[in-house]
Amino acid sequence: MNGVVTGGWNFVVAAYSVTGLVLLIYGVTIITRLRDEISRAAKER
Amino acid sequence: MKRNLFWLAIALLAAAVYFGLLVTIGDQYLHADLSLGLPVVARTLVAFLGGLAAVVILLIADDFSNLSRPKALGIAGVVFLLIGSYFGLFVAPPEQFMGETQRIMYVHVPTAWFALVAMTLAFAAAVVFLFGGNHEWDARLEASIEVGVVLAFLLCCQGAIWAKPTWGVWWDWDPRLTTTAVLLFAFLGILALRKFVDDPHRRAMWSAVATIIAYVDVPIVYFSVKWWNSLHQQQSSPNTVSKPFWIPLRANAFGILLLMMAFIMLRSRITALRLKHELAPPPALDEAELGEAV
Repeated sequence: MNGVVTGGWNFVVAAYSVTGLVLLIYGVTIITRLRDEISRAAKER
Repeated sequence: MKRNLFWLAIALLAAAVYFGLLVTIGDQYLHADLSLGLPVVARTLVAFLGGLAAVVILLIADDFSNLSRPKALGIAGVVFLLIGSYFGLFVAPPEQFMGETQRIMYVHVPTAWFALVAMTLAFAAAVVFLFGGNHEWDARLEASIEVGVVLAFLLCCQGAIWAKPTWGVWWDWDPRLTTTAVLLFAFLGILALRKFVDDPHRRAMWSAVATIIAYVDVPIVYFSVKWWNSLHQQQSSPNTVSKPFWIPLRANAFGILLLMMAFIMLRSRITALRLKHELAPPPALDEAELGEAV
């Protein structure tokens, strides 16, 4: 034990993967919901 | 969106990127002084204030009419995130004590910054709605809260992944972590509240008041590491972060800033369309329908 964290690449990869995945999924849900809302509004007109 | 204001926001963002990122790239990789004679503190201030001013202008000037601008901001955000992640994973050296795990900071810290910025935009939208009663601000409020909640959730996930190798646990009821969890659930509660109220006027009023109350936690989150004895490290500044770490941190910060604004602008269009439907007067009945109704 010398106070230095060794290894840890698996945690780094996990953090970047979670970040990319969450942002991607959220972006896709926004675009899907926006398309649905636009088509609903167009039908009502 | 008013065209001139949009381009003013883009100019401010460009100045922020220039002084926040390009000067550092010039200094470290091109061995060129691009600072225009400004000291580090002034450059950081221009980057910080320029970015924040651009966010505020984009929020105020957006009239929900244009889809290409938020999409362009989103694409630019992804490009910055890819550049920042490349530097963070492959170029920046490991930190002296935290080793490779410190690379998580390059996504964790910008996520924290912009989770709090999104909550602050929600707070501002709540105040403006309460004063003016304009439902456009209710749309911006809902969008900012939802994006803030997503970023706060992501923040907790990244924090847990960082905590395990450095603290030995995934989670600890430390002041910073606890106040962040409270923030996440408080704003999640406001989104739930909005689902349960059908009347758009009451929904907007109640969620604006709830947002102002929940926002009290934001400064507590920020200052928690100073006020209490916390496991979590204190806020960094350009003086406490080594220069090789600046590029990935700042590139990712601009990436998440742009993505946050793109998400808020797109998400507010969903609420604006729904509100337009809810607030529209009922269709007029013709005479036959009127007779049946009577």
